[in-house]
Amino acid sequence: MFRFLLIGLLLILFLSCDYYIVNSYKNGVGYINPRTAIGPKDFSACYEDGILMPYYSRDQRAGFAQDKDSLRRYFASKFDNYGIINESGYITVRFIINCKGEAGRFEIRQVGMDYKKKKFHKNLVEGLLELTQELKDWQPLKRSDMTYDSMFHLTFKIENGELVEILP
Amino acid sequence: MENWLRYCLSLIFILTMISCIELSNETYRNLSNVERQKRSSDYISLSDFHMSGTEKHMKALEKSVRLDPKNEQAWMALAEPFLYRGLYEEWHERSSKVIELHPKAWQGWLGYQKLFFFRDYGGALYDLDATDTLTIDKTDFVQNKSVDYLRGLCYLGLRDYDKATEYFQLYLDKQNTATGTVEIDETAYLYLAIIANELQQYHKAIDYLAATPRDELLADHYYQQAYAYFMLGEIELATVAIRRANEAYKSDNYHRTPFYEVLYQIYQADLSDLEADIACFR
Repeated sequence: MFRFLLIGLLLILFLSCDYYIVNSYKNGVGYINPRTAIGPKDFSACYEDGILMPYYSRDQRAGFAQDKDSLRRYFASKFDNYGIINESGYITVRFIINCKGEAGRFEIRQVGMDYKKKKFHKNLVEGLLELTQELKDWQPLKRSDMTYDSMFHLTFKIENGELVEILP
Repeated sequence: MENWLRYCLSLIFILTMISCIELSNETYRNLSNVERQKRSSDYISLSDFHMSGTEKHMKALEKSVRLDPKNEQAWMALAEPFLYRGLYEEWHERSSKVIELHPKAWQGWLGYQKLFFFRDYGGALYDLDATDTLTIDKTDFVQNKSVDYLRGLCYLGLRDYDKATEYFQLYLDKQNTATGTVEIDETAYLYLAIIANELQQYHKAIDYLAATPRDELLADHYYQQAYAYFMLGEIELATVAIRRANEAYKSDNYHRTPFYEVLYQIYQADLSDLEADIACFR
């Protein structure tokens, strides 16, 4: 019993000096773990061992290939709040756009109007995720003639159950 | 079994001691406060050599705050990669720390970020008003944009056109007095024209656009001009304006940023739709 307690104590001490051991930035900020990501498992980035850059990093930013207005009209026509009118905040769908313009490895983040973690109604979240996954017209990050994998996100601002903005 | 356990425990103990020794060396316990602050700033400079959000960038900034937990610049630099990647909870944790440490310097930044990344007009106004109150004897600028201009945008987002006009006009008056027209942001005239068009004051919109102190305007200016002329029934002038708008747009001369959509951003579809409407009346 004493030995187990000692091992436990030492492990706690070991992990608390974690600067060199637990590296939360190992894959950079915003890394989406393929094992926990939502979406088809056969999706792959073009450069799996490379750094995933954010969507604005090069001359031609990654994003929806048609303009933002088309995106807005798409979501406006298909968004369904399932009668939920008392929820406000931001639902963010994060994903990778690979160098071929394919989107995959989705994850969801939710915050309230106070920017603190919040859990929206499941239907709202799944609805927005599904609509995002149905979109196919993505353009990859580009510089000169080279295209790159990148991280992208769509943030949906919800006010009293209504979709009022698509950001950024 | 007993020996195995003893070896494991010893190994864990040694690794623990090594980690803690490394950490105590790394935090420079023997340095004075001034030396720690200097070293902390050095790590911020070091982080600039690496792409924002990468492991080395973030670790350099983490070192910076370990050395000087009151280094608000390091905390702000730590927050930004999360903002640009849609990780808003993490962004908020770090940027709240920045405001706690030095609200005078950074509350305006928070207002700027809330306005453009969240369209949180009320929240942004709160921060921008606060920053103006904290520095009562001067006009603050955030990312090269006047607090008055930013407040104009917030009120425009809230559809309070009177207050929006008041703040854009205040910005223009102050800027004209301080530095003349050279450093004026021409989009202030654009937004005044947009407000005038929204209020169906088309002559006023045209006057604002004509007053813009630039030889070449953005596609956005010409678009608003074309719309105003179209609504006044001045089809020939509208045709000229929409042609200029299309030319400017094709030359990438329109109001936009790489990080976020600006307020009232125009797209090719907007130009094409207005052009089609004008063509119907020719």
